[in-house]
Amino acid sequence: MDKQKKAGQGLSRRDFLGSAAGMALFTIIPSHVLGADGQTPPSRKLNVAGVGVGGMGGGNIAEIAKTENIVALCDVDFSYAAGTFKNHPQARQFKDYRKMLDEMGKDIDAVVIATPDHTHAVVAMECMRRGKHVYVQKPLTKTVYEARMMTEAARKYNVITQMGNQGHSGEGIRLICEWIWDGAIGEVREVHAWTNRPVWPQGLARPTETPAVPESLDWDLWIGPAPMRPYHPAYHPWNWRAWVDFGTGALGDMACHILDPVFWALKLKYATSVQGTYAANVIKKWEKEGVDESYPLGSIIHLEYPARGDMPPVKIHWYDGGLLPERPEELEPGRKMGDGDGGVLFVGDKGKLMCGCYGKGPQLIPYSKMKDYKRPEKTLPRVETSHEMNWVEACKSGKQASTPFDYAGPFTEMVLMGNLSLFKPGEKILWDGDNMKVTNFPELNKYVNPAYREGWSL
Amino acid sequence: MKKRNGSLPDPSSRVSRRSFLGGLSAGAASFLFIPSSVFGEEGKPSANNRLNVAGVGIGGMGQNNVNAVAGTENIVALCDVDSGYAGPVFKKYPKAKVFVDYRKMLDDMGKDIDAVMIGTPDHTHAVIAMECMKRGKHVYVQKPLTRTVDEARLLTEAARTYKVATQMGIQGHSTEEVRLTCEWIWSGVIGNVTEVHIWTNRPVWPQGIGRPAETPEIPSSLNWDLWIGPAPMRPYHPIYHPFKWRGWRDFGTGALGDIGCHSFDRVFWALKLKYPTSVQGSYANPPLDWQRQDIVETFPTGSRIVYEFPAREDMPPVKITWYDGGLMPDVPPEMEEGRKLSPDGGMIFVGEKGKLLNGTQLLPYSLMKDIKRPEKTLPRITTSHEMNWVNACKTGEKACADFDFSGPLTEMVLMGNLSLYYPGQKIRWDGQAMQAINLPEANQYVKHLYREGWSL
Repeated sequence: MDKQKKAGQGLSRRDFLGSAAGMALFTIIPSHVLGADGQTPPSRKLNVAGVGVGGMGGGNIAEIAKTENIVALCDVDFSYAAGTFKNHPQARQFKDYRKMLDEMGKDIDAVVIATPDHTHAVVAMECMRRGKHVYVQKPLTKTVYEARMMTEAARKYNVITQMGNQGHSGEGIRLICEWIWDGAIGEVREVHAWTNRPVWPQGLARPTETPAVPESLDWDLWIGPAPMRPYHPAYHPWNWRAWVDFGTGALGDMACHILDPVFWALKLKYATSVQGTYAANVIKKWEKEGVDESYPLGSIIHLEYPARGDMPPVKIHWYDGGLLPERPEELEPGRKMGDGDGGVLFVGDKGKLMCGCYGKGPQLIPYSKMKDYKRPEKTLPRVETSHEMNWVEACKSGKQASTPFDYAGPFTEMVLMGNLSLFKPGEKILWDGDNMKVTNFPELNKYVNPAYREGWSL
Repeated sequence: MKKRNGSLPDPSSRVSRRSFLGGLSAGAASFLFIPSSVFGEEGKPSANNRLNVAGVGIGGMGQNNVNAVAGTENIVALCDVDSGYAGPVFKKYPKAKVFVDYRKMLDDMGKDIDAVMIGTPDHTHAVIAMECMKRGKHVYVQKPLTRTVDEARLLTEAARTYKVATQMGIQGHSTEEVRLTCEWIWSGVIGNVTEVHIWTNRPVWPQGIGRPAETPEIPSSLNWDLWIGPAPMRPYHPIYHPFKWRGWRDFGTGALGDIGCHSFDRVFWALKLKYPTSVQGSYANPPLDWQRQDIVETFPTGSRIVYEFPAREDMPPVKITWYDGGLMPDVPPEMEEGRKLSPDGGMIFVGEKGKLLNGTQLLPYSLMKDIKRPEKTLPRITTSHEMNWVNACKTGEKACADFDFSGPLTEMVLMGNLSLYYPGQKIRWDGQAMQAINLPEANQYVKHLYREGWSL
């Protein structure tokens, strides 16, 4: 762990940077301006804050701390975040990200956001508004509308953005793009993607008990922009994923990784239709749990995309909760479908390509096709660092990170469209992506942009 | 509700029709019912053209079956392992002798029983039906015929050996709709069928759960040992009995066993199916401690299963996809705006020239106006499904869903459950030999394995 100067001491790099405009805004101050020769000068380091550091955020922060200053850590639950706090004793601790930004805004260059899904947008938007670079865990947001707003805000505020779909910095996804663009499997009209998630409880009714809020937790802040409800350990920590008011289910957790090579390689943007059905727990005889409260145990969802450039229309089929597509005849006996987390099967008119989660281990199937395949030149630039450090470098160089919101925003919208379909199972929902509107079931538009609790806004 | 005939004779007070029949020569003649003129007055129903019917497992669906024949036949014995659950039915038929153990019933009253209606949980269908058939009784068995593939095969063979009238309780098989589906498909109105999608909202009872740890006391009305029957013994729990045994692997057959036998029925008939050549499935289940519960104990919350069948006669190979637990196929693009697939269940036949929803509606529906409806060539059944069987018992003709039909149908349905043990694998199936070709370990689920003291 680096020894860092205490936040608030000395000349704020942020102040200094703040005076430069435009392109120059992203240029890092050369080390000789602020630092001594031969040492890593503080000026080459970003001052990074973390918001939501008890879970995945702790991992992101740990990676960034290898080279950057962690100046502030914010979490609504000091007990859940204690481990991360302890690892970064120099960082000031906050419960409320707004207070953190007010008090330390000038000393913060960039913010890592890994709160539950329902607070990604409000936190990231406030950071961007204040000119901070942001790294936001996947999915970018809980709602389609928020994803669109974040995408626009990232452009407007001209900050460096990255979504935490770390597979996007990997080799696999690049190979998939290059092979598909090379015509390795011809034109792709059909894709199947699947995950073993959820592996946490879903298909649930709202708990009726109202246990006391743990002392370490600020429940009002945890709820944030969502409708208030009594605290229950069924939501925090971690299991918020299941709940419609806070999380985005299996899709939000894993589709942001698994569908990533699909979105990129097939140059997708807005779906034109989506339909889905799901399996849920039986509440009592003859009655099943709907998705009013939590996402289902397993679902199958179909997204349709129009032709893009020289690519024909394509249908994407999503399976979660253990459901799987049919095993392709080309997959040799004994070989597994994807990997333990899930996988993707691209069906082209000249062949099939299979990979695991994060675009890992792409293979033309059968294997004999892979052996004979003359691989195209690696034309896409590779990311040599971690996904987090790719963002850090982008913050310093002013170049785009590997999944800026320009990509991650529309991609997240795609993922969230799947959840939208579950509110109208067995119906084909027609989508006007440009206007963010369901055209045939207007009642569904309330799920596109649900209202925030009073006192909260984007 | 059928009215009960008020003049039921006391079975013990007359010549047993069964013993009379027993003296006849074997073969076709053994099905011939003694005409009423032998024993009764002409022109009115007599005791003699009434069957003496027993019911085994009558607390649930079994009572409906018994009720359906009680108007014209004699209900002479009722057997149930739970006198509490079956209490109201016992009360309804005060003349019927009451039993807990079907073996004792057959031993004590065998000569006075012509036919048995079996509505027990799935895991005891085979042992009871086999014992009845061995003793020459006609049998009406609730769907699914059996819990395992090999039991279905053995019952099918036994029905032929013992030459009794058999019927599986797929009452839809006696309806007009099923016949229309066959006639429509056979007339080529949608061309060769290459794909079928079938879905149901079942299970609507708990599935995807672990075995309960509590061991509540057995209700005094219940003989738990007999309820368990040939299954491995386990402590009593109300999560099994009544009704919810369907979800449990040791006792039931899940959503497929409940509804698959109904919905596959017309598909099986219309497409002249027998054994699939492959089956593959996957399922959703609630997770527990980051592990998805597999189907060690219960069938899953929802599943999707794909069957493949080879070409049959002039019909090309066909792929059948099953969805349960709320999962459904894609809405066909031919569906008119505003119409939707029923979430309760249904099926779509996909032919080379068109699509048929639920076997009797062309998609889009507007095509129905112009279509020349095929001739009704299949004989219609004008009675209830139960009475179709009663008539078969009396005439020696085949009942409409006899085991020759319903045995292979049940096997096909149960193959779906087999696929759930190996999600992500395609099980290649040798139907004749009842063997999974590429996954020999799957064969352990094909065969029945009974508790000591029980056999087929």
